[in-house]
Amino acid sequence: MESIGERLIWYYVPFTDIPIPLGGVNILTVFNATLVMVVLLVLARLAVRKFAMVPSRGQLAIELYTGIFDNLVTSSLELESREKNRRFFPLIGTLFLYLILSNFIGFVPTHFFEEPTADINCTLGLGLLGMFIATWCAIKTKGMGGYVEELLGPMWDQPDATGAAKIAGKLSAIFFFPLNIIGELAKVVSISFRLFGNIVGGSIIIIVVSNLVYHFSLLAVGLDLFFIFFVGTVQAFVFTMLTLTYIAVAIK
Amino acid sequence: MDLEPHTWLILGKLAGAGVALGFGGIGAAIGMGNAAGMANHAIMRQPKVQREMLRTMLIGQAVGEGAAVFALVIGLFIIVVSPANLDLIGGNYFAALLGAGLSIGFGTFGSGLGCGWPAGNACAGFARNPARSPKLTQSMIIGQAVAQSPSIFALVVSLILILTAKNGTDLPTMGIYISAGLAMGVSALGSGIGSGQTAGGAVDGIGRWPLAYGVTLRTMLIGQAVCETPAIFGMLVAFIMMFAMGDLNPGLLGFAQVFGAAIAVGFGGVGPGIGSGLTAAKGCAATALRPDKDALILRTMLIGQAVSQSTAIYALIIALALLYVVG
Amino acid sequence: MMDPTTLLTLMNAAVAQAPEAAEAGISGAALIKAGALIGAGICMGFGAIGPGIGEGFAAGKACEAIGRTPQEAGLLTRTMLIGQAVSESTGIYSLVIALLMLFVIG
Repeated sequence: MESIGERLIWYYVPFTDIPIPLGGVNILTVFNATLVMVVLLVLARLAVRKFAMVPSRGQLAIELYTGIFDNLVTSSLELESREKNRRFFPLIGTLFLYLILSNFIGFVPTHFFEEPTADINCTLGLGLLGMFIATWCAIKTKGMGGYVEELLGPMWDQPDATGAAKIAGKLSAIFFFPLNIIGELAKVVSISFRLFGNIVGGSIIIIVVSNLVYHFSLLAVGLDLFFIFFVGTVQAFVFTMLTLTYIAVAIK
Repeated sequence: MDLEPHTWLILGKLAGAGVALGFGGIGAAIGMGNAAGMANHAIMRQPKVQREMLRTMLIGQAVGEGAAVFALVIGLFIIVVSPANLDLIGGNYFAALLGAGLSIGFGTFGSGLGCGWPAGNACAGFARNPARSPKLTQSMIIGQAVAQSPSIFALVVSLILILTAKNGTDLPTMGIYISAGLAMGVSALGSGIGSGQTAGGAVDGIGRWPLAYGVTLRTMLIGQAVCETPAIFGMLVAFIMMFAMGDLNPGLLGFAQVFGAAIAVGFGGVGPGIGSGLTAAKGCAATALRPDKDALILRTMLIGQAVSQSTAIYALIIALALLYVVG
Repeated sequence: MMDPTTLLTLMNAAVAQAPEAAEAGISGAALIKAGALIGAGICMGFGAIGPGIGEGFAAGKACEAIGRTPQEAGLLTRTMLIGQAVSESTGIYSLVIALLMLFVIG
């Protein structure tokens, strides 16, 4: 039971007395996140080593994955040309692979391999990344003015309104602007806490159930398989699709 | 307030386990009854495949019952848990156990109730065309599993409450524990019902127009994820209360501060959760009907859900103002 | 009808007891403030239920309608947004009252 929330945190830069700002670094998360990246890099390198006309099993898997995600990105963004859609494909495809491997790493039964996604700092960083890209794309497609006008609410820009209705529309921005800003921040909070809560919740349930019924360990193994592989896959997909959808809404 | 430590412990166990299993059981019972009713209706229309239909219904009910099983696990844990130092137990421990019960009880209420719709609609779709049963079962299980995540959040909060409770008796800390449980549990109620409705709508759509299976499932997952936003706000406020509270006002004022925040974010999340679910359910059905227009429908659904959730954001603002600004 | 002197005596007794009640931890002012804080929570919490469900219902019907007639998407979205704005008004009333309770009374 003690292992819930047990963390290896560095409060100082190693071998010195320099404190690390913002309350230290969770070294296990950094280690595992780096490990996932290295594994992905090695796998990608191995996968593209030789492409044959008649694909091997590995090449087939890669081609299938690429095809599925290419279709997903194209059908969600609906930009005019396939090349423009494809600019977002590397981000979305890599995000899903990274998240799914991060969620699966908790299956290795040692203390070293914890899911990086069970640390709120990791998911919050990924959520901020997604929203930053979405906002950047929105400013690029609509211009700074268009983006701010959207934040000022639906009643700011009424071409056919006159007199009092027009003034009321402009005044409504005082109300809508802070609300839209908070709404944007709430998106980051909700996308990152959703992944974090599901992954942490899964690992806590496994620990509690195996403490309660440790003579019947098959149940714990089944729960382990369900939460790590099923919930991990679904939540990785949800995170990826939400990032894609936020981008799609931002550039429309 | 001057009770024996043993009395506080027993009171907490009775109240916590009772609330957990009482409320947690209602939702699953209603939901599974709903599923069984729809299955009966479906068997009436297609009596030939009644055995397969019964199997689909039982799978759906078993997965949907998962929420009530979470409540059972936490209820048992509340009953068997024994803190390290029995002599120092006070009102705070009682409040933590009660808060854990409130969190898991209300949290599993919604998920249990919501999981009935996909199970029932899967049976109804089965009656329309028995050949589609694998896809229906698959989408039902995925939808139900995602609809359980509000109750998983509630489970996290209730376990943290049980395991980190402080000794002693003071009104603000008692308020924090009860309020954290209430905020998480009640906000998960609406999200659970909403996610369940979304899954129900998607399964209904797949049962009627099975060609758009993949696209409908994707719309369902996004819709459910947005439905769970109020529960995430509730979890955020519960975490803030448990870990990031500064100095509370002493006595009754501190209690009122956190309790008011919990009621705001908890009950404020019920309506937006259910409303987003209604939107997403129709969105999934529409996607199944017109898979070629899925991006347009998804966009409209997201706009509608975002407007429906603005009241949850007001409630979050009031709760944060209560916690940090007023004082 | 109560004798005025008796009433005065009772009132004096009540005023004399007030400091004792304050020593016990609860004064009238604190009670009023606590009531305002919980009241703000109840006001926003329960006030948010109706608009949330109602707006979701409206958006659901709009999605259904767009599924049937996608070519009218713009008109349907506009109608949906207007209907939701009206439904939202009670939520905004709750927000205003809750803010009043927090910052004016509390």
